[in-house]
Amino acid sequence: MLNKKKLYWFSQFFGWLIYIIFIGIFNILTGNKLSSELIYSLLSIYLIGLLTSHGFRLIIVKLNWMRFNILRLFPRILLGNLVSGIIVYFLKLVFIEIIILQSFEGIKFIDAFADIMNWTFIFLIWSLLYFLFHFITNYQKEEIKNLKWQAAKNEIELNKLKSQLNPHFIFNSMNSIRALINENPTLAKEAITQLSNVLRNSLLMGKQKLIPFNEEMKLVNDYLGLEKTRFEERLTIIKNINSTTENFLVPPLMIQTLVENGIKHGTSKLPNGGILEINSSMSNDKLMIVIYNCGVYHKNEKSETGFGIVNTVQRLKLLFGNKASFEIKNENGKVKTILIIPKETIL
Amino acid sequence: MKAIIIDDERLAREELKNLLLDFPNVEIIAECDSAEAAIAAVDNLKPDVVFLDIHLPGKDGFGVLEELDYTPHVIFVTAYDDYALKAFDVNALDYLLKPIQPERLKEAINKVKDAELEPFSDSQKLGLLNLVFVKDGEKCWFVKLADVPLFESEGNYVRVYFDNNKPLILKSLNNLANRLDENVFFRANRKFIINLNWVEKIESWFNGGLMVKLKNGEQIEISRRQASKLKEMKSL
Repeated sequence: MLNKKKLYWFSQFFGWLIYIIFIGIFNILTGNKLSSELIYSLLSIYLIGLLTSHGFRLIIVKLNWMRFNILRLFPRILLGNLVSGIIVYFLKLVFIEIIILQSFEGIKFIDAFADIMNWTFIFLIWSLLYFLFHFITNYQKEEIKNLKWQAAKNEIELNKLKSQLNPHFIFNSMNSIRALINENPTLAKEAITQLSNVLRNSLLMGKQKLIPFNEEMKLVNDYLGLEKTRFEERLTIIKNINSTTENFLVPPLMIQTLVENGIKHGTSKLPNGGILEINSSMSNDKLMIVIYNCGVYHKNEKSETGFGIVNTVQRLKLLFGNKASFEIKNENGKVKTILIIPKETIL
Repeated sequence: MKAIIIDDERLAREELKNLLLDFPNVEIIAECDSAEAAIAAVDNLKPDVVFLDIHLPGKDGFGVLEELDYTPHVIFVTAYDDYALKAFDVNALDYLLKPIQPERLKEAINKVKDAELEPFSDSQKLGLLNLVFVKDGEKCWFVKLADVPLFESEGNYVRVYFDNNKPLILKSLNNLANRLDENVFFRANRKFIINLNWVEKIESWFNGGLMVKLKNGEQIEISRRQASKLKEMKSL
């Protein structure tokens, strides 16, 4: 900000200095002598130009002309330049013709008109430079904002990938499977298939923007199958899937992440285990997913889950703007997670 | 070697039991599926080693260790290289990653053998070769009692001195005194228990008391009553 201010004053002082130097040289070339009157006149023009243009700028800032688009701005600039031109004409009349040169002979309309037009033109150039500078810097700001948004989006995508492959889950599953190979080879084979599906889908689905809800549920079912193998009778799974919701498009792995959180903070934390319930239904043309798990939700807990929730909210915002909603709360001794997804994305 | 397996997942316990079949010298004396069961079993059965899963429902593995009266050798078992393990001094622990590799299990068991922890029987009290588990905020240690010159009472807590650390453990000094071998760990006064192996110098003090200088530089006054006890013990 300070730099911008410095730049403004620098341009003002030197711009007007260059202007009067040109006028001075022009005067000398056309036969005028470098008299003290000429120097005083030039200095007056310097000060008059500087002060009038600065006054014009104060008005621009005060009335916040920067908010206008070019079409609305242009007439205002023209009018402002004309008024500035008239002001300069009269100031010049007073300071140069009357005080310095003492050659005032009344106002000639033609001369007055020419001089005012001349100064209006000078202020037009001044305005052009002033607004051009502002538009360029604003444009750069917009550009930076855009880049930041892109970076945020990339980060969310990356976080999504990171949260997909939960190493605890993978290695615990492998460990269960190792034990099952002796105990129940059939179940062990099934578990390996489920784990392969989960891994494959985690890798593939992440690349898609949206997938049908029943595809997501296939992944969730494989995932829950593995958790059931691991937790055995400690995990009770309840599913109420409305058939009208099957083809609704959802962001991949989002429901899976929520289910995984439900188990991580429910069943796995409770010595006697607990339920995990998934409900899907349509509500006002939107898909409503409600997940219940045992346990207690601590809002301010800093954990990977907190990170998972933040990521879910960010993804929803990116895809659906404010049309999707996500809520997690304690209800009747359970944790209730509500996810509402609209039909249309904003991208 | 008596061992207890602590893991909330039945299949994980089965898996470890299967792997331990190859080690006839390891006798599994109990399996526990929760923190509470684990604390009771370890204090009652006094195993030489526990295989401890860090993620347990309710209390985690560290919570279990903090509540133990008796600290066996601990081999942590976890599914993933855990942030929780970073709390430890690397040399102070051994841990196994699930699924457990048989070679790593062998190494861990050999480490326990080499650790020369004092075998523990019911009558015996905690001696120089036994461990205490100490947790101070985010940091954890298994400290050999031989390395502890001094215990200091602080209300319901006891401050454990070792190396340059002085963390607190949630135990009363009286409780601790009952469990420590009184031939080595001497109750100097109401506030302190000192490790006699760390004594550098003993001087006479007022009222028939003694002033003990420890090798770590601390000076502890021994009350008159305790001074006569010490003189009797060491026949000074």
